[in-house]
Amino acid sequence: MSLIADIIYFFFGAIALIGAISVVASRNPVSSALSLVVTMIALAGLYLMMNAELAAVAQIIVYAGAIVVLFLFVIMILNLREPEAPSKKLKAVRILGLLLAAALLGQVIGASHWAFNRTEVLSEAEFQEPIKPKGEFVSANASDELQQPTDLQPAAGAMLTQYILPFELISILLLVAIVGAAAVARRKPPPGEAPYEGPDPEEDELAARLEDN
Amino acid sequence: MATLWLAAGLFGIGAFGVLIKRNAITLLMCVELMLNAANLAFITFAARGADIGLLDPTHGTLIVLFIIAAAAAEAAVGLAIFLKIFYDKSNVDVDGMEALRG
Repeated sequence: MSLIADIIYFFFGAIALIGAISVVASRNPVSSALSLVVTMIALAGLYLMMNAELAAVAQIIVYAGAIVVLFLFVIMILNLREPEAPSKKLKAVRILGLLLAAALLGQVIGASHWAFNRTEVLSEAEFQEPIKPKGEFVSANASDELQQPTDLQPAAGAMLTQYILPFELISILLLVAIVGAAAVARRKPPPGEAPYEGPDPEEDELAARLEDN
Repeated sequence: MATLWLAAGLFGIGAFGVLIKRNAITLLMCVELMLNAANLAFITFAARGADIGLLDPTHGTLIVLFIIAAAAAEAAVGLAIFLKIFYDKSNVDVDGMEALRG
C-alpha cells in the first residue's frame, strides 16, 4: 500500500515538475498555458493523495477551468502567435536570474525543513479549534464507502464560522477585481471619434431599400 | 516531506521564469506557478499536522481556497492591464515597459 502510494506521489510529482519546466522553457505562450494545466492537474492529484479533496476540486475547477482559460482568451485576443523573440538581455542577467532563483529555492527548502520538523504543540492562542458543525449530513443508509470522511464538511463549517471574515473579504476582493478588470480593459474610442451608440438608423433604411430592389 | 521539495522546486522554477521571461502573459503564468508551490506547501503542512495530531487540516484547505481566489483576482486584473498595454504599444514585452523609469 505504502509502495503504491509512493509510486503515485512520484508520478504526480514528476508530471508537475515537467509541466512547470515546460511553462518556463516553452517560447509559445499557448503551450506555456497548456503546460500550466498539466501542472495544476498533477498538483490536484497530490492534494487528493494528502486527503485535501476540497482543495483538489477547487484547483481543477478554478485554476485549470477558469484561470488558464482566461490566459488562453487573452492570448487569443492579443494574437500572440509568433514565438517569443530571443532575449536581448545579457547572458549575465540570465545567470543572475538563475542565481537569485536558486537562492530563493534554498531559502524555501531551509524554511520548510525547519517548519516540517517542528513538533512542539502550538499554544492555545495560535491554535483555535474550529467549531465543528453538528448533525450528520450523510444519510444513514449510505454505504460505508460513501461515509468515508472528506474534508468538505469540516471545511464548509469552518469557512462559515471561524473564517467568516476572510471569506467575506475575499468575496469583496473578487468583486473589486472583476469591476476593476472590466474598467481597465474597456477599449475607449480614439479621441475625436464618437463612441459607438448602436446601429445607425439611416444605414438601416438604406440596407432595407437595397434589399427591396 | 517529498512534496515540500517539489513545492520548493516549483517555486524556484516560477521565480526563475519571472526573472527571465519577457512575455508579460507567460510571466503571470510563472507567478501562478509560485502561488501553486505555496498551496502545495500549505496542504503538505496541513497533512503533516494532522498526522502528528497538532493541527486540524481544515485550516490548510481553507487557506488554499483563499489563495486560489486571490490568484484568480490577480490574474484577472493583471491580464486586463496587459490588454490595455497591448492596445497602447501592440506588444506585451516587459523589457519595453519603461515609461516609469526614472
